[in-house]
Amino acid sequence: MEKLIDIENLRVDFELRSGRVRAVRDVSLVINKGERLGIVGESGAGKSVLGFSLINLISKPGRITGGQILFDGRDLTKLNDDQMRHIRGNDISMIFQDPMMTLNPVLTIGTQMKETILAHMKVSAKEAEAICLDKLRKVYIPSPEKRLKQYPHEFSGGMRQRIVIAISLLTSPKLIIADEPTTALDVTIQAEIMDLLLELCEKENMGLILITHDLAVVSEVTQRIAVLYAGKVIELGAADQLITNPQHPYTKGLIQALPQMAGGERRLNQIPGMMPSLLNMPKGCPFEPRCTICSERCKTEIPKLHELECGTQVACFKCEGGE
Amino acid sequence: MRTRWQRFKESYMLYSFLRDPIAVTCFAILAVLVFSAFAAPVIAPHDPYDTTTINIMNAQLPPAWEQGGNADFLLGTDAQGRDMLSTMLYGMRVSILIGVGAVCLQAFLGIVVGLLSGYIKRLDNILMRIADVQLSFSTYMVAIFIGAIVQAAFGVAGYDEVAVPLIIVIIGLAEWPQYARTVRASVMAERKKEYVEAARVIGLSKTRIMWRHILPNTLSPVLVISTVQVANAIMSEAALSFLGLGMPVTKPSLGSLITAGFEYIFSGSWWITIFPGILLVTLILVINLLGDWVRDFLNPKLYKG
Repeated sequence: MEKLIDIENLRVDFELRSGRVRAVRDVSLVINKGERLGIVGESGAGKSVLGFSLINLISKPGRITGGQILFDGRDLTKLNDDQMRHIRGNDISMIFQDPMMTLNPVLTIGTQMKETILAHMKVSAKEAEAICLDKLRKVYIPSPEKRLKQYPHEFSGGMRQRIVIAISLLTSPKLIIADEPTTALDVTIQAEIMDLLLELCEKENMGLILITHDLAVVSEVTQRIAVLYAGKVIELGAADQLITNPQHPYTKGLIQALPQMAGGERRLNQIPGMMPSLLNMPKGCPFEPRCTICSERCKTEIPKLHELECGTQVACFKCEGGE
Repeated sequence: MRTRWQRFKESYMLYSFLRDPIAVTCFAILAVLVFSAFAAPVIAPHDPYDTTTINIMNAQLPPAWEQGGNADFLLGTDAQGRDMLSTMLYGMRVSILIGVGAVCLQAFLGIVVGLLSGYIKRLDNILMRIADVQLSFSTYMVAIFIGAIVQAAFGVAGYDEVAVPLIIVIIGLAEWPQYARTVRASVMAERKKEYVEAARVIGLSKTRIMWRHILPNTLSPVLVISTVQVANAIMSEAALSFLGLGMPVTKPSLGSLITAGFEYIFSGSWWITIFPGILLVTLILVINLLGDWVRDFLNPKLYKG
């Protein structure tokens, strides 16, 4: 498999008045061409920061302070603004959470789409329009010619998200980062959008990074899942493997916390405690204070990712077998 | 496909406008005033700029309905024998021209500075301090200063030539910080919105994001202050002319007409001051009331269902 993007020991720091906060801690991930990777974790685990760091758009005072992101043989962390702008939207595009907010309310859909094309490709306005229509058809927008002339408020939430997806497809990117693309939509539309994303990725052989806290959604769409906790990848494995046979106690907790259709009126399981403050991290395993199976070693030493026989990589001393 | 006109007819803007009798009346009055001002060469009974048609013997004739009035001069004549009605129409044209011109200049400067300082943090401090310095000078002080210098440099005859653009520039330069501050504040609010982030993710350049994405979203407050600023600029011009630093008497604006008449008010020729005064007040009142309506219309918080 050919590597599409290779993240090595990525580190993102936020310099705050109260101290330095490390939001992403030595994350290494590889995504192959056309592969779909899910990133899950609870709020504040660093999922979105990781996503934004790939296109170098972390909001201030955040900054990449270590590691590298190899994309097409180039290190994205070392590119200047112009080079980076060329990558954004062209090779890597991003889909945001709330489609109400990501479209400019005062410009027509057509203007916003054409603008993207003209910023990256040398085509005439007419050709640009043809591309727009083509992509709108791909996301199943009926009568796209008419729709191009409409403003965002004339669309429903699901339609808008499909348009956002169409915009991200315009330049045929190699990788799409979807940051919780369905959280602002209702459940039936969620499924529709997810199916659409899946279909498009397969058809166009695009890589996808799906950032979400919804395990059910990731397991259906992605091939591999990385579980993020306090800025670290604590478990990484094939989607079905990770869902049916979770290794890390945190992942286990997450999966037990999912509502089961057949479960009856039982109370849902919950993981006790809260994620540690990024300002005040435990010395050892970040999950140790909440862990039910931790040992003395977990308090002093940070576990590294370790590959198990089933193919899953996990950062937990207990799972390394034996001990 | 609906045409633009059909869209306009069905729009909420027209609906809300028609339901507001004050706005409709003001708009009608303003339309009449603006039309008659710009059609002055056609509709005015006399040409006040043409000295050959002026007869000094007609000076200070009272309005037609007063004793001694002449039906040729409906609102009487001024001290030079010019027909008041025609002079006022021409004067209003000058006033409106200066008002709108000055506001265009203010808006242009203010929007550019406001956008830059709102979007580019490095420029913010320096540009806003310049605006503060500018605001700490009174408009009239700046105007008197520049006006006096130009008058000295060009001489009285030359000054007549450059008076209109000069006053536009003076008022425009004096008031741009109003725009800059308003625009900057809305830019700061807009730049945090997700569509700006999305535009950056798409890979658009900074200039494009500023002009194409942020600017249209900040235009509603700009529109509101523009109406008020037009009225202000007309008033500033009138005040300057009243002080003798605005439009020369040969090409009077409403303000200089009021001044010119002021000298004669105690000798009984009240019409030379009062009529231009009423016209000026009406013009400004109408613009301000329309501005109020625009503000209410553009503020969704005031929608009454």
